[in-house]
Amino acid sequence: MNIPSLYDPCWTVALLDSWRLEGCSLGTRMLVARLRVQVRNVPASMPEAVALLHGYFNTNPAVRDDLPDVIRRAA
Amino acid sequence: MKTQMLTVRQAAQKIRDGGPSGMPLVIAGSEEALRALPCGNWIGGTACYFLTEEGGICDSARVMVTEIPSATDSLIRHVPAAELPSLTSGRFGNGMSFVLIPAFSTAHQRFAIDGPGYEGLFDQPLMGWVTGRLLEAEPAVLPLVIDGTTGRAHADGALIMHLALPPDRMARIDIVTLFDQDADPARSFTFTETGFSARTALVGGQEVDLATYLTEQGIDTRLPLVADYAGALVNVSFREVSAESGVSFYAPVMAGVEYRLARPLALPYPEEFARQCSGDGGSQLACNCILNYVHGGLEGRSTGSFTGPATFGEIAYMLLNQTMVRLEVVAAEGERVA
Repeated sequence: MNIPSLYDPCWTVALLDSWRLEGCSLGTRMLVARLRVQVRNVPASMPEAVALLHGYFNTNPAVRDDLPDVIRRAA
Repeated sequence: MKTQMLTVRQAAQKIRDGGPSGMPLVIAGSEEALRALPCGNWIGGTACYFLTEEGGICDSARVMVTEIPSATDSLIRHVPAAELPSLTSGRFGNGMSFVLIPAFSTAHQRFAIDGPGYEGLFDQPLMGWVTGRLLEAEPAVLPLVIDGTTGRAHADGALIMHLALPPDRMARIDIVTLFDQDADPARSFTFTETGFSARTALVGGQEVDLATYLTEQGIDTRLPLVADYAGALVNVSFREVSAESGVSFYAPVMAGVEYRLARPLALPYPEEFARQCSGDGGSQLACNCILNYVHGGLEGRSTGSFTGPATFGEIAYMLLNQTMVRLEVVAAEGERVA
C-alpha cells in the first residue's frame, strides 16, 4: 500500500476518531493513541501530529502493514 | 534468546567467554552479585525477584542472564536524566533497544512523563525495565543500573543497549496484561494534569477528591487503572492512598487519557496467566511486574516458560505497571502482533 501524502485528510481522520487498532503492532497502537490524546488536548497541534504519524510510516518499512488499519475509515 | 538463572561464577565465565565484543547479555541481580561480575558486553540492573520455570523466587545470590545471539552489533551507553530525549540516538538501522532505569530516580520520573514524546521513540522496538531492590530494603538502598563495559554503577539515568539485527530478522514486542477494563462509564477516571500523583480526578465527569472516593467506594487498589491505547491496555498501579497527601501511582496518569478500574481476575494470577498467555516464552526476553509477583502470589508459582525478573516498572516503549513485556526476534516478514 502506498503511503498517502502528508496532506491527505486520512491522517486527520485517523487521529480524530477512536477506533481500536487490534491487529497493529504495539508501537503503532501506542503512537496513535498518544497523538489522539495530544490533538484532543491541544487541537492546534494537529499538523504536528499528522507530520509525526506520516513520518512514522514513511521511515519505517517494518510497520507498513499497520497502515491499512490506521487509515481504514478514511479510505 | 535464552534466559537462565546462573551463579555469579557461571555468569562471569559466560562474560569472559564472550570477550569485550561478545554476545550481548542483559543481566538482573542483586547489587552485590552484579558488582562481582567482570567487565564485558553486558548491561545489568538490580532485581532480587525472579520468575523462573520452577516458580517465583527471591534470590540475591544468583543472577538472571539473557543472551541475545541474534544481535550482530551492539552499543551500550549511559544516558543522564537531562539527556533522555536523546535516548534513541545511536540506534542501528535494523534493530531494537533495551533500556534499564533505576526506580525512584529522576530518570524514572522523566522517562515516564516525557518519554512518549521523545523523537522516534516508537520507530524501533524499545523494551526494558525499572530496576529495584528488596521490598523490605531501607530507602537508602538505591536501585542501580550497571554498565558492564566499564563496571560503573549508576543510581540515575538510563542505561541503554542498542542492538543491530541481520536484515532478515526483526524484533517484535508485545505486552500481556490480564486485566480488562470495567465496563461502567460512570466509573471512568480522567485527570487534568499528567503526573505520578493526583488529589482530584473526574469520575464519570464529576470532579472528586480521589482519595476520599477510593476509600468510600471500597476500591481494591491492588487492581490498576487501565487505559485503552488504541487497543493496547495500559495499566497504572496505585501506590498510596492518603487523605492528607492524595493518591500516588507507580506510573504517571496522563492528562486527557480515560482510565477505567480493572476488573478483578476470575482466576488466581498463575491460572489466568496460563489461560491468556500462549506461546513459547523460552525464546523471548521478558519481565513481569513486582506487583503481579506480590498480589498474584507468584512466589513459588510458575508462569510457565515466560521467565524474567519481577521489576519495579516495565518498559514497552513507555513505562507500564502490572504488565508482562515480552520481546522476541522473528523473521522479518512475520512482523505482526499475534
